[in-house]
Amino acid sequence: MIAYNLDYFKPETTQEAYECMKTLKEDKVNALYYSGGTEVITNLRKGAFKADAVIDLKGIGEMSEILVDDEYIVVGANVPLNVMIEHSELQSLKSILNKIADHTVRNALTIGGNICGKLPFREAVLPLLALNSLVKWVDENGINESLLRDVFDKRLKLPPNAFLYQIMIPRKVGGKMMSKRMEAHTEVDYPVLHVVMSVSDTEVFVGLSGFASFPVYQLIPRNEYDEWSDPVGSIAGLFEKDAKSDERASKEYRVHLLKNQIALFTGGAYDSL
Amino acid sequence: MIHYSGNVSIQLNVNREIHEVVVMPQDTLLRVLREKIGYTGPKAGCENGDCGACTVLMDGKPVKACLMLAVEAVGKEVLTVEGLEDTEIQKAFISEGGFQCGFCTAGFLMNAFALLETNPDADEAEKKDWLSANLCRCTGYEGIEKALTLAQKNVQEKNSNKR
Repeated sequence: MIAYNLDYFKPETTQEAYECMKTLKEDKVNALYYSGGTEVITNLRKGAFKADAVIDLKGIGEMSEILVDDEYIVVGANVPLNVMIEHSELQSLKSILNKIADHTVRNALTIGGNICGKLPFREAVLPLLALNSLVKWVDENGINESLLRDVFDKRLKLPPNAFLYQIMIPRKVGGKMMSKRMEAHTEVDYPVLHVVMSVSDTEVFVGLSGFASFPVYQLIPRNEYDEWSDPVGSIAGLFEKDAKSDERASKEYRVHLLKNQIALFTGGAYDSL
Repeated sequence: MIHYSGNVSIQLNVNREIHEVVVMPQDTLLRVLREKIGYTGPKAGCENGDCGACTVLMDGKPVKACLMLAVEAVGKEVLTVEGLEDTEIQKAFISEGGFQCGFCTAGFLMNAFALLETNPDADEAEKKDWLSANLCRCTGYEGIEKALTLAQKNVQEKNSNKR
């Protein structure tokens, strides 16, 4: 039970949604954008964060669709993870996305919510960064577009009142991508370490969730990577400063797991997704 | 743009019946189902999305009613365990003893029913994936697994007889 009053808005266009947020903020109303609700409702109930109003973006039709053109798979920010997992064009992401939360929650949990939420994991962002996806977001100028890598640093950094609209995932990506997720006890749990690594002719991407207090990633030019005599130690060295200790695992254990997984990845132990 | 504030009257389609209810925007679907409409099948377990005891179907897909606002269900078809009377999964849970204390049962039934509706030929991995969303504190998983296996067999037989 959420123990205080909340106003609920459901706009039908992006402009309506943005204007609604802007007006509420001008009126000093603490408002949140809302999509799947799986994180928001829990946190409002627990009092972990407070809101006077939610703006449900599910009334904006195109934000709940997946469209495919010659170059991109365009995924609306309101698309639930299970819809992505079941989509024939997104099978390379299946084994990453189907580890997030549980099957029932994934019917409501949206890709936008996972990336923009307050939880520190945001695992869905890892393959999107690896694939060098683009994002579209809405602000006072309308719909804007940029590389996800340019606007994601620990979290998605959008202007005030802006919201994520669509994600454009390139259809043709060279190289291979691998992932491994490890939990402390059961599979349905937050990760101690989730590694996504991709290797192409031009770059090596390594992205981690659960390792630090936020998702972290590194891009290594392929020619530089090829010259490393100890790629496992070198990659681990790039991340070591960010490792966290918590009730799930110590910093040392997380670094140990990371080294292990990088050794398995680089040693060819895993198939490409 | 829809705007709900304070007490609002909404219509919810639950178990194929339209219910006119007065809710507040912050009311979860779980609380409204239980306390305003009277469907107490969905249980308030963790109210955190972990246990799955509150699982209902929304347009045929299982969702956790504790993680959803009631106003989000306007225009959708909601099915609770009360709507599963005489289904194969209900019969199989009884004949295989798919419950102990019964608190988690409604959630398992809804998820298992939706799975067999979606894919009657689901393999073990898919069954595990779907039912990992529900917890049984009595650890009565063996009976639940047997019930699902029997219901699946019966649903498959029914489907083949229809062809």
